[in-house]
Amino acid sequence: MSFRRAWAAACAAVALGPAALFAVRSPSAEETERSSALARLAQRIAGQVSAASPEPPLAVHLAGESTDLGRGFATLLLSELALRKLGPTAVSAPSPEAAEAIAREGGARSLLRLSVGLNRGDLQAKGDLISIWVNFWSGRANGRSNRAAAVIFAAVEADAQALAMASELPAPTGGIKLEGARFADLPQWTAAIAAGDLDGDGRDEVVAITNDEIFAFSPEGRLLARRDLRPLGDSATPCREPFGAISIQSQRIAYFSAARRQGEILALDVARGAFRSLGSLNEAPLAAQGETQVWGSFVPGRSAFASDLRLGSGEAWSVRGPLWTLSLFAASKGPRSLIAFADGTASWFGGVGIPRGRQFRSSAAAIDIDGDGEPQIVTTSSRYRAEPDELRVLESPANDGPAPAASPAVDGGTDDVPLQLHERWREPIRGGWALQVVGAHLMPGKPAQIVVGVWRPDGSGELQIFRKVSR
Amino acid sequence: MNRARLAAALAASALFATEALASSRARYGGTLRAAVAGRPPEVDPALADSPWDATILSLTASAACRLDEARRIRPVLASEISSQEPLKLRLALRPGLKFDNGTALSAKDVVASWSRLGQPGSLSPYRALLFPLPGEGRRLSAAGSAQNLELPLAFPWPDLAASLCHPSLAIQPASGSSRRGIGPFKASSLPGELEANLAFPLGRPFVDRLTVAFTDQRGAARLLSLRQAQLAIGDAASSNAPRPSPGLFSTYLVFQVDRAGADFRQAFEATIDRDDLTRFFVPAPSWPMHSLLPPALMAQEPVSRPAPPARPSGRSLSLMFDQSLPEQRLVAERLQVRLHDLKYAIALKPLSRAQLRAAWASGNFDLMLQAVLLPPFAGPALAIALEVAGRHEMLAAELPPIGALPEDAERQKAAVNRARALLPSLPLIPLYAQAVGAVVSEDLAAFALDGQGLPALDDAFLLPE
Repeated sequence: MSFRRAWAAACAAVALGPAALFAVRSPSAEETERSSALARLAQRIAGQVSAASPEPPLAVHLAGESTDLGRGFATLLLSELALRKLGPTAVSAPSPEAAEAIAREGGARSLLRLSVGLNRGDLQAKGDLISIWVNFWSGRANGRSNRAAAVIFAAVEADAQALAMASELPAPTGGIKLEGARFADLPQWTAAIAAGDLDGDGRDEVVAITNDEIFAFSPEGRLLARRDLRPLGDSATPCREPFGAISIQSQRIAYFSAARRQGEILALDVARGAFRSLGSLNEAPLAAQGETQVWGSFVPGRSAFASDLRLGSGEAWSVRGPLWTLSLFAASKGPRSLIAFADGTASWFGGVGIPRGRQFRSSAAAIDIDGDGEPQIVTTSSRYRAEPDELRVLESPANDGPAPAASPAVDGGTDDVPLQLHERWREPIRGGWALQVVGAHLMPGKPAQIVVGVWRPDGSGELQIFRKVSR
Repeated sequence: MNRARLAAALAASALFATEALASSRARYGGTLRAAVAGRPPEVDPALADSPWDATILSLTASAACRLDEARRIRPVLASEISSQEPLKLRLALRPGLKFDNGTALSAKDVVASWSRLGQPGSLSPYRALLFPLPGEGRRLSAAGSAQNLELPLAFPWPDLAASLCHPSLAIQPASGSSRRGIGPFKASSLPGELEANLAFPLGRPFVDRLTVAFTDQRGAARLLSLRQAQLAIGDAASSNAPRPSPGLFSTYLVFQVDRAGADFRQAFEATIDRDDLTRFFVPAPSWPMHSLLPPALMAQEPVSRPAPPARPSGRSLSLMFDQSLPEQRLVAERLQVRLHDLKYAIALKPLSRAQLRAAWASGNFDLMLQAVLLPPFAGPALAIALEVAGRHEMLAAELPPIGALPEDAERQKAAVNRARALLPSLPLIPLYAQAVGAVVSEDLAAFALDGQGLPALDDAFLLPE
């Protein structure tokens, strides 16, 4: 489909919307907040154009990153400009330079030239506004008017609609399909979740902590035990959001909530439906895999772990900054680690990195969903309180070296040609914001499933589970 | 997995930076610069009750609890507020909390803070919040335990726990020269700057520091436009402000019937249009009030305009108002002009809020503009409105039947019905309700209002440049 045809459709949409054109009313704050990224961007651009007081009629030339995105934005922008009585008309031209002559021939007095596209999570529109009126007495010189010109730029955070409209890539080959379902409800937001076999039956139980309690659920989502954490005392420097760590190893649960003064080691007594305390902890159990454990401490008052970690063997390990999560995975080619740092960056051990612009944040985890022995990267939205949040499955870098010595560090932020990670699945998460993701082997002989901790807006929590299904 | 191999692998982990444009978790750090269109608030929480004053004071002095956005009780200085029996409320303080002056928070501080509201020298309309307690909080004893308070109630009042979250009940130290309480921020070494309180029970604020510039509306707007502030408080809400704030700061015209005359209400209603009064003289966000409680708490009654009294008044009256609220001066001047047409000679008398409250407490006034921050529940709000009207004695008759209703909705309905029925008999005329206005720059995220309609600045965070 040509952009010209899309542009014509946009013009028709404007012409067919007289009610919107004649109803001059500023949107309320609530309406603006609820509107889509495209609508908000159109309002901002129209506001800037209006402030520059161009002489109507105003011709608009728009280049879009994709046909759908350009058409959608054109519809909304022309409507906004018409509301401001600027007499907008669409100009179809092969280039912004060619648009000037075409707009002038069409009788326009001003020309707005814009391009719209996505850039690092933002939906951006940029371009210029010029006067194209030519004094009849200037003869053949055709010189520019002496009216002021303006540079136009605005950006808003992209939303799912903008992402969907911008994407014209073919469907990924080798994609997977996941089905999600509610797993369990919790009275408060989750501080951490983990999965591990607590009763030796070969299936993982799921453990979650909130600020006040710890819960264990069966692989079917049935509550097995819960325990009040408040006797552990209040942290002297609690953090504002629920935060903490759980690791499960040898049927023992080590956990530490940032709201509490100390952590604890527990065992699950399935017969009695209760936890049994095995001791207290002064360190946070960040991750465990096989015989390996990683321990850390909280940054006082912040929902982050300090950068100085300790391995179970006693060795010190300093990473480059405070972190949110550390995910370990024992792949067939060797160990894999995924670290989400508190500055919003992430690290992946291997020879190829996350390309520039890929954002995964607090809830990134390395999980082998398809059972091939290599993990995928499972992430949620990189936006704060995304509406809706989303779950994405990315293929981990394919060229991982078998050992660290053979795969030197590559900084994705400075890589000239960053490799594109293959996205295998993406779907919205319903009901709230996802802050924790872990893998769980809930069914024997099947690949791992994804357990997501969701914060509901009413202050309660929910565990959702995502399973791979046949396409 | 080979432990040594993994350790080596982890130590050599390759780092791949991604752009930090957004984040699923809030960002810590930075200095939040706020511009407030107003004066620095009084240190007494009962006097720092305009929404903007309460916002600023609550930064350094919290109540036992706060109401979240959904008006649920969230313990702050208390670890637990529970009621096992209708006539008993238990308040347990969090252990280990300390004031700025180093003294530990104890039940004695709570009792002292609450009892101030009912003492003759600092009598406050907010004492009505504590009416169900013995002596309205003055006869409470903290002798039993340093950390726990058993609160016996004279009658069932399920809204008491929520009432304890009102900003006027902020806890301050019982002894020592400093009146600074415990809040999400504490004083820093620099004047005019607050720093995050790491020990705040709900967690430290996301920003490291907060500076507050007190100015007027124009100055606040200028600071915002020059990017010297990320937040202007006390200004009309902008398109990027959070959801509309509930207008709970309610202003009444209180009068003494024996001085103003029995037909004063009739004269007022005949000559004053509250809609115009609010529209022209009270900055947005504001709403005219025709009923005893504001629109946020009850549907407003239509008012019929009576004819003016048959005989001109000829009375000379004084009208006291709060000089720290510019809109009260404008409203007072308007009342002066309009009532002059009916032969009322009204002298305006601006007072500080403390002086105004003292005059109200003594009953020594003719007319007075009195503004109070009502709680977002009709029952406690009705109690305060009756107190403002000087009808303290009515609380004993009015509150128990409302408190006896177990369901929130039932109590709300009963309180609204009583507010409707009582208004004509009260020496008070509702004028308008206000909410805190706020303009927020685009680099301030998660700016939200609590259940009282006050900005929760400790929840906000700054986006990266």
